[in-house]
Amino acid sequence: MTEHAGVARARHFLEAFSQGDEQAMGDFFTDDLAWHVAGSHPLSGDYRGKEELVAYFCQLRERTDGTFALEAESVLATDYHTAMFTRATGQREGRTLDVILAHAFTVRSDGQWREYWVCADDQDAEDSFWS
Amino acid sequence: MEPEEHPNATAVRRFIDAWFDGDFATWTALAADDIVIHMRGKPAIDGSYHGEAGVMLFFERFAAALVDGFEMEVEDVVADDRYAMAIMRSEYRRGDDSVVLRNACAYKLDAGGRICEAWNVSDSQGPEREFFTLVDAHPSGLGIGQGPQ
Repeated sequence: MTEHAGVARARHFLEAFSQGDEQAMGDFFTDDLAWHVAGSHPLSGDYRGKEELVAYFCQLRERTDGTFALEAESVLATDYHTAMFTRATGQREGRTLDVILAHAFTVRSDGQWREYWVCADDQDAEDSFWS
Repeated sequence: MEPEEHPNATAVRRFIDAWFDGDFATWTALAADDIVIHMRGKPAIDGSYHGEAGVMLFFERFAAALVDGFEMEVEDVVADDRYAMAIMRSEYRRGDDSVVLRNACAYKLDAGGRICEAWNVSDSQGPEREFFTLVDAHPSGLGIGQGPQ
């Protein structure tokens, strides 16, 4: 069975993320995307703009001394939306993160992602980790 | 030709429809016995609700917070054998208050295609939190932020 193009695209994004390739990560999104980080920690909230999103990805790395990592559990796609379920791990100030992050993307007709949501199965653990 | 939808996507659509219709028999049939529903960012109903007893408590609190009802529209569902994601539009109403949200709703499913875990995030977390904080006294007597952990 042929893999949906949206699945391949999401896997390429995860590769860029693992390589810390900020320019490549930004190229997946529209300039004016809306994005939403669940929870009550300092990085949570509703935001707009690609530059800020790339800065957020950098924060994930910087605040964990480069230990923050995403490992794909499932990558799913239709023509209109893409979803990734990833195991997120990291170390920060003596704390350990190990949660499942659900990522959802709304896909523009040209394939660019124009909206992004992310939330954890154990939101309390994620809030404690980043706070 | 549209590709055939994954059976777990169909299960999630039925799960959401049963929730909206108040069809708890169908809803519980689609849920694993040890289902866990995580609610965060909605102070009146925040908590992690475990199993049938937890789900019933969640239903009570949700209904009490939404005296005047709600609307839900599923835009899309993607799924594989383990996970599903639904993108939904929701409108919640209570008196003169209402809030319209687009939600990403995540589901984990067991090998039998039953939903065993669910969590979500909206596109308007501030207004959502405010709406679900205005509930200062439920008809059931349940207060703010007393969801089970």
